[in-house]
Amino acid sequence: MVSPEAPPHDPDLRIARRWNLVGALAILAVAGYILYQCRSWPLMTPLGPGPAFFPSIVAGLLALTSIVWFVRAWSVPHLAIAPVEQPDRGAAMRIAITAGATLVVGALMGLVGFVVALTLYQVTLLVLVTRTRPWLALVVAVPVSLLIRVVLNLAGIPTPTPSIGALAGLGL
Amino acid sequence: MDSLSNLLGGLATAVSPEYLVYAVVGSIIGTVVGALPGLGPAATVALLIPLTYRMPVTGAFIMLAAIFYGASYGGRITAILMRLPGEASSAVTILDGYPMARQGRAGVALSISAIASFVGGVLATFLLAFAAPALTRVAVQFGPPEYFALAVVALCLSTSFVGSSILKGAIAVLIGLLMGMVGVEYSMGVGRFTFGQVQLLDGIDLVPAIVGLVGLSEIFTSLEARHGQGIAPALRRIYPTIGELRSSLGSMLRGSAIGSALGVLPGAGVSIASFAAYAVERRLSRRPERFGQGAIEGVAAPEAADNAASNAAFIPLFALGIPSTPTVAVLMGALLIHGLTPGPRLFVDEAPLVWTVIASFLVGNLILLLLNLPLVRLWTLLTRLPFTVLYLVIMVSTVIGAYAVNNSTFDIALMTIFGLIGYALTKLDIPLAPVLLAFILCPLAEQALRQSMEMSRGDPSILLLRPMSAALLAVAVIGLAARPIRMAVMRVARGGRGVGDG
Repeated sequence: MVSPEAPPHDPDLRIARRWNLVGALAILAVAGYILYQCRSWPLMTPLGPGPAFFPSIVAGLLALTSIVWFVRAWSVPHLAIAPVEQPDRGAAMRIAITAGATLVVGALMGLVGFVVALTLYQVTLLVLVTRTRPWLALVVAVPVSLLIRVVLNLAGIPTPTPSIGALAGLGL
Repeated sequence: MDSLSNLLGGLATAVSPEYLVYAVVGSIIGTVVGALPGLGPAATVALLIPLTYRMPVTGAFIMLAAIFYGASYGGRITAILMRLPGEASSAVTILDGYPMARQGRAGVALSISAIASFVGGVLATFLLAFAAPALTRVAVQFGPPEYFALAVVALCLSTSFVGSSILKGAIAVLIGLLMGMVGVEYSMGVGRFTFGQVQLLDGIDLVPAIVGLVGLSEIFTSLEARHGQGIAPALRRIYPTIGELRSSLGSMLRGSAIGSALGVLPGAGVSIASFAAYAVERRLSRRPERFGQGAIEGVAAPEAADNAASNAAFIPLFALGIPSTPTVAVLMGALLIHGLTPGPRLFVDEAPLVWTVIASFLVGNLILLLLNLPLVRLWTLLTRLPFTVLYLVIMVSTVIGAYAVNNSTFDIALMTIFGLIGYALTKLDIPLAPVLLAFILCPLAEQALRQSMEMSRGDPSILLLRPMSAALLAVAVIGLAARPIRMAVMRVARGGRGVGDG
């Protein structure tokens, strides 16, 4: 059993240690999930390696390395880990809004159409992240969305059409 | 001498005004396509093939080939300035190109990368002209065990890409390998790690994964500053000094040699070339800690290797009729459509055409250099844009880039997830380049290992019994062990001095 060093006094190192421990555990969980999934596939087939062969080896090695990482971060944090800059509340919000809007925009394209979804996406980013005035955001977003649609269509790339009946006929 | 006179004859034809126009048009299209994430050179060449039906076959192939190697020039622009790789190979340029841009050296990074691309392209073209048959004979001796061993070498070398620990480098490689295993496995047709999503049966597409991991994660990092971070504090110089050129010349030549050698290998070469050149350069450096912080050699070597590999990829096509990359496969299709069959007879039956096309690579690379160097000042203006504009441009282009690959909104969500994964990995000091390399190489490595085991009826010793694969695996072991041994020796030396001093 590894005995941990006394918790570091440096608050930055404490934060870094916490993040590294969480990171190592998260990766260990991923490796465990992969190994669990591999149980349902054969390791070898009559011809050679089966579907579980390569993932089992890789997940096994990943589990091993994450355990080593965890133990090092636990026992000798000042040697084993790099400092982690934790984002403040405002930064976390900006990142969450950007990631959330980007996750949603694809689904929205199938619902309200390419132009409307891309316009809403840009307005959301400009207003909520960069604090641009809403009217200015709209003035930028609408022509940009229309222009991109025209360019994509010229390049032979089809854009999603709205599934909402009222919008379907508008060609958005 | 035959090759030289043939090349000169081809050059005389290639510089005729008609063919120059084809080369210029192809170079411009290639540069633009390379800079945009999403619309890759393979798709662009495929889209443009119908337009070439009425063109003379030589002109058509000059233009399509210029798009291919022009894309590797274009890929570096957004990679260096915005940390957005247009192509997988540009992901390596980011490692030192982007830090250079952040230090106000965007112009120098762009200029050096253009010059390195030119050097790599020209050297590989000479190789194509003089050594194609000999190189091809070596390349065809590469069987599945050698390919697997080559992938292992690349992965082992990549664990020490950036200043991170070997442990975190290894974790990065393993994460990348797991990403590469998503999709249908071909021995039994099992869908692995698809979470019930039909879109994942074909595996994770390269563009959403790269743009998310490298580009989007950087945006998330820059959003940590209250008003975001602009790219450069101030632009100091546009062009490199003589000293900088001199210090990066060796890197360019080594990168060109690595790219030319690996570009010949069907399947893996072009993807590995820039990663391998970077790893070698870091290993050879007296101050490897500069890599990842804006080392000019970290831009010169991978750019030279990338373009050299792109040009060398034509060697197996012309000499054997084997396409080594998806784009070269599309180009092969273009040749077939125009009634030409690539392979050993091509140099005999269509000698004037082949030599004109080869000579056009020299002309095309020169055009790209002349086109790119004056434009460096224009590109660097991008670094002066306010964060709001840059942020919107990058976000919209990543969304469109991810969507345009397969016309799939699913890829936008996938890119975002990879962006968050990349952000988390960056926070934990896990390097992203080995993740990408492992992701790219995983299908090749797994298939090669399976085929090797099938060849030996399940006996893994085949990897050690074949001389070339055994040698490659030895290189991998040495590469992996060198750093810990060096560190242990340094520790012992320091300890010894300490005792003595005390």
